[in-house]
Amino acid sequence: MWTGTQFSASLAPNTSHRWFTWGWPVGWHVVWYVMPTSAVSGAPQVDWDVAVERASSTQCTYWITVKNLTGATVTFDGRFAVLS
Amino acid sequence: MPRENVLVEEVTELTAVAAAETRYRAVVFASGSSARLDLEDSRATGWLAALEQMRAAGLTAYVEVDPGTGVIVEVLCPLPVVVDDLRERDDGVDVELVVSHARHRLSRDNPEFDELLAALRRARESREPVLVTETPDEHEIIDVRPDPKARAESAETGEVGVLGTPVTLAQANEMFTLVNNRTACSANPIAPGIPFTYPDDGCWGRAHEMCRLMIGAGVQPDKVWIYGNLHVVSFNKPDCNVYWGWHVAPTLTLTTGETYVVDPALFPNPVPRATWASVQGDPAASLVPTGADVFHRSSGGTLTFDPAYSQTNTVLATYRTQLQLRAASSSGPPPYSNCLALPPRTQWFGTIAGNTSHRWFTFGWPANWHVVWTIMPTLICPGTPTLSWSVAVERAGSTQATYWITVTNSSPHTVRFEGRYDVLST
Repeated sequence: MWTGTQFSASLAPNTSHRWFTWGWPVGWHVVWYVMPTSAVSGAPQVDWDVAVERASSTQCTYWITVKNLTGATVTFDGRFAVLS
Repeated sequence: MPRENVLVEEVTELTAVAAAETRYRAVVFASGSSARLDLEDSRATGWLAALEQMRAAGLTAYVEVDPGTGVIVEVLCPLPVVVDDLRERDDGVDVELVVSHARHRLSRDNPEFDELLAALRRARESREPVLVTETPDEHEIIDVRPDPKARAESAETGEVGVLGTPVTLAQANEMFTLVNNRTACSANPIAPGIPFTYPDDGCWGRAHEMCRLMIGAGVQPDKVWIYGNLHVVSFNKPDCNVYWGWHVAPTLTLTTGETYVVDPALFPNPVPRATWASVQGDPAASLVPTGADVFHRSSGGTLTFDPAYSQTNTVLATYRTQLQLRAASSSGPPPYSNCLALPPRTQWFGTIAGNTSHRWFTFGWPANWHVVWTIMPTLICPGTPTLSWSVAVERAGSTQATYWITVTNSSPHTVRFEGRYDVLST
């Protein structure tokens, strides 16, 4: 397994936004998760979900929707792990 | 050979009929005839898209109509061809059509066998173009009639030398990605997508379009033609088996001198020419290289050219339509799970209807294992996200867990997918 950060972004208060990242080999098992980089204790800051598109026989595109659960702007990293 | 309740004509208009009848769309044909498309038919969306594709491309449509209601009960896309050869067998007649590399057959079980055979014989003698309609998967001929459209072709006899400039393997891979990224959505194949997932027929159009794209990117390819009793196994055909009389694909000459073939219908990357030939089931097949400008080369060596890509566009439209019609059928869009082996760390193949959610469960997992679940569509459909998923877990016993995976299909198409797992630790 190996991990990485695909993108860094920010989200306005109580908004959600979708990012996409393309050209991923379809044979890879990839999981996506988000880590806030702006520290606020006491409550969750972001939630996310992932959708996937098979773009060709060999490549796929991941669509990551991130939701800011707070009343303040959140900065975060979009992280991935290639499991196999 | 007119069959009852069949229209074989160009579609001129697809329109909504009276507001009170919003269940139906009117399909108007070139002669002024019309038929009704029942939007409650599960095939209607695909048929509508196919009819629109045929209308836009000026292709002739084959439509069967219920005589009592005027409602369309079948839509097919006839092939504009010349009959080249007929070979009688005990159970039917093998029919060689030009241009087509698929195997076509007239079954003796067809109640109109004698009439259809007579029409095919007349067409073979006259060499006049005909429209041949066949069943989608078995390629059994069900209708033959004169093609009123004249088509301009420039035919020559001889051989054309290869012209390709050498490239590195990395450049060959780039060219493969370039053309493979033009794959048409298997569930809704629209222009300018290339119907790589319709392996039955149309390779010469795909090859010419791939060459056009490579030349546009500054790389000069060639082509290789293979002639023989060809058979390939494909997960993009419902019965997994494709039979050809010939096949063609672009080639690139490497700086090492090797010839690599770019054929996304068969391989996920460029492959050496010998590898490409080896999967086509005929060790005695003959290979003929030509330049990229040859649009079609008959087994006898007659060459046809299409410098303006007009015939190419017609071929691509024809086989996008065939793919659309296959996707609308009970088979659904490719690939077909019955033709696929379960890959490692894949728990199941699933199928989910368009715009629906469905939950699967899998039990007996050791509760101390750390398991994550992901979903990967096998349906190729570029442009928008297709599937998302969520996971719930049940502690079924002191040692075992059951995972419940809910998959949501946000596309309007039926999608097949792999349900994948990874065990992070045990």
